[in-house]
Amino acid sequence: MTSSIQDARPSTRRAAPGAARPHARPVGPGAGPITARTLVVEDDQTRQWLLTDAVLRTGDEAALADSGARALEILQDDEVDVPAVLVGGLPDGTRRGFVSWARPRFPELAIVALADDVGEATALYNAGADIVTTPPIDPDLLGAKLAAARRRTRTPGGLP
Amino acid sequence: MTQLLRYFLRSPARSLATVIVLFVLAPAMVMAATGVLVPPVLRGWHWLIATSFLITSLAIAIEALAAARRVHAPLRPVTPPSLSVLVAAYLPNEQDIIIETLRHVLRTLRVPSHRLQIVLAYNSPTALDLEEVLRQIGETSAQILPLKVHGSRSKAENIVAALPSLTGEMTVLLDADHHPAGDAPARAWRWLEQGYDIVQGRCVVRNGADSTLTRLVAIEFEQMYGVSHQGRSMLADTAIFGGTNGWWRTSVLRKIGMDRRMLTEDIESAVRSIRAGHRLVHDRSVISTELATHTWRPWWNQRLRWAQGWLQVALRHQGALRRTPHLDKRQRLYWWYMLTWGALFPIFATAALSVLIADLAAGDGVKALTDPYLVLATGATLVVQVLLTHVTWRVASPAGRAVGRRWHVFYLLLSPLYVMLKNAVAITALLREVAALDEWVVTARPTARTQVAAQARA
Repeated sequence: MTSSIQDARPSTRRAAPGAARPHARPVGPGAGPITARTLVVEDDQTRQWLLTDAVLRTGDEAALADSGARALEILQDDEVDVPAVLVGGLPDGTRRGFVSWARPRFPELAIVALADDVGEATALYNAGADIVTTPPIDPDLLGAKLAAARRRTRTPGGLP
Repeated sequence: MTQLLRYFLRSPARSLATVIVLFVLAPAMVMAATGVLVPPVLRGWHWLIATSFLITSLAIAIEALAAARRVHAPLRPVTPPSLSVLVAAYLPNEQDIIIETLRHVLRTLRVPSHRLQIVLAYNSPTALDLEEVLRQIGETSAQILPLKVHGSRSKAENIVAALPSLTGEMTVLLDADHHPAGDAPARAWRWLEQGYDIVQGRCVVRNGADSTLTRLVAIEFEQMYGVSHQGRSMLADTAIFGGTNGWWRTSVLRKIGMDRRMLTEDIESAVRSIRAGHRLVHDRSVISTELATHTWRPWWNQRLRWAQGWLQVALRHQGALRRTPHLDKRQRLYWWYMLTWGALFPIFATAALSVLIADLAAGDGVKALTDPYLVLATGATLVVQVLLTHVTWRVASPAGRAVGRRWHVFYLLLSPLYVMLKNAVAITALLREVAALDEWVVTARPTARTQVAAQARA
């Protein structure tokens, strides 16, 4: 996918080369002014569109990174404002490793992570994820979880 | 005899030649001969055919004037719709477009996701790589249910197989290339809240800019769904279900089902719904976009199936529709016009060529230019076509307007030829029914490659 960040800010670099089409504007229910950008980290093409479309349905803008390295690059880019990250599959590491790395460096970043089972979900919470969810993915529920995670990271004392 | 007829109907070229010989030249010879022997007979042919054109023109004018009016639809729905989206697909043919369709539906439809279900009912004679992707999607998405229908050879079988899985109170039937608008569920649902059982939406061509044919089909669909069906529905308070972008009360869909023996099981299901006392409405604001065929061969095959399917429905149900207590007089007239007149008029329209040839053969000149009644019929036909084009432009969807006013005028100028071709298709369908030919060819979908090529050409 061409990053929506790329669409919004031509001066910034692409989030990732990939499959899907750019969305200059959010679509779906509640479509209106862009309120936030969510970075989707996922290497599997099927999950990529399920997750990015779920974000787009909420009215947020979605950016996509298809590896942990690319996601970290975007998060460290000062020109790019990413208040939330949705951690799916990574080809170059574990979700837990990614969350452990990101949490102390970006304390205000809302981190929602996907887990395949209860064991992994527990590990992700312990690593610093704000909310962990498991498939099947319901787009509106995922959107609500992202919003909840963002609220939580903005609340004093709400950080892990 | 049947074998011979089948031989002559084997390809579009042979079919056209057969129609010209049997329905243009042969009648012309008979008319000319009878005209020479008994001159008033030829005049009688003229008047019969002119009357058929007048009837059709009058009907089109009434429809167009009705459709030109702005009508208030029911208010916003009281409750949010609970929706099942049933996409029927034949995957080897539609594997390049099906994922995009699923994405579009999931991303765009304004239905709370916990009230949204998307069922992909598909058949495939061979195992495809795409099926693994579909399996993953089914496992990952809470809304999407891929359903392979083993042994199925038709859209009707795919739909029937999916019926037990539907969870929504309303079900929309979509072809694999359809992209419904985000507000379509709410617009359809308000009719169901008003007591209707099936809402037929407007199908809009989204690849209208690809080629001359897609432009023509785009404008034809604007006329068909924006004016003709809309006008008739407003006049008679009934409608057809055209096979896609049809929003059903799920309980009614389960009860009616689809008959796989019919070539157009969709129209047939609509007629059985009417006979069972259910109510249909056409709403042109319930929009879904689709892909028009890029080339004439698939166009021919698609239209042939539609025409023969309509004929089958007319033969099977026309008598019952005349007697059903669920229709009033105006609605009976609607269905007579759609089924019986729809099957007869192509024969009359083609015979117009026969009388022209007979006139010339009998050495009488072109009567349509001198006989007042024929001048009236010809003039009325031309004026009504201009009216139809004007109304079509006026109520056109954004995609229909994007084709351009120039093309709408071009369509008007080309319509005598285009309608003649469609009439030839309808007569071929009649001959195929006589020859008991009912195998059909799947409508080829533009692949990603052909779409890119078309875009490059554009």
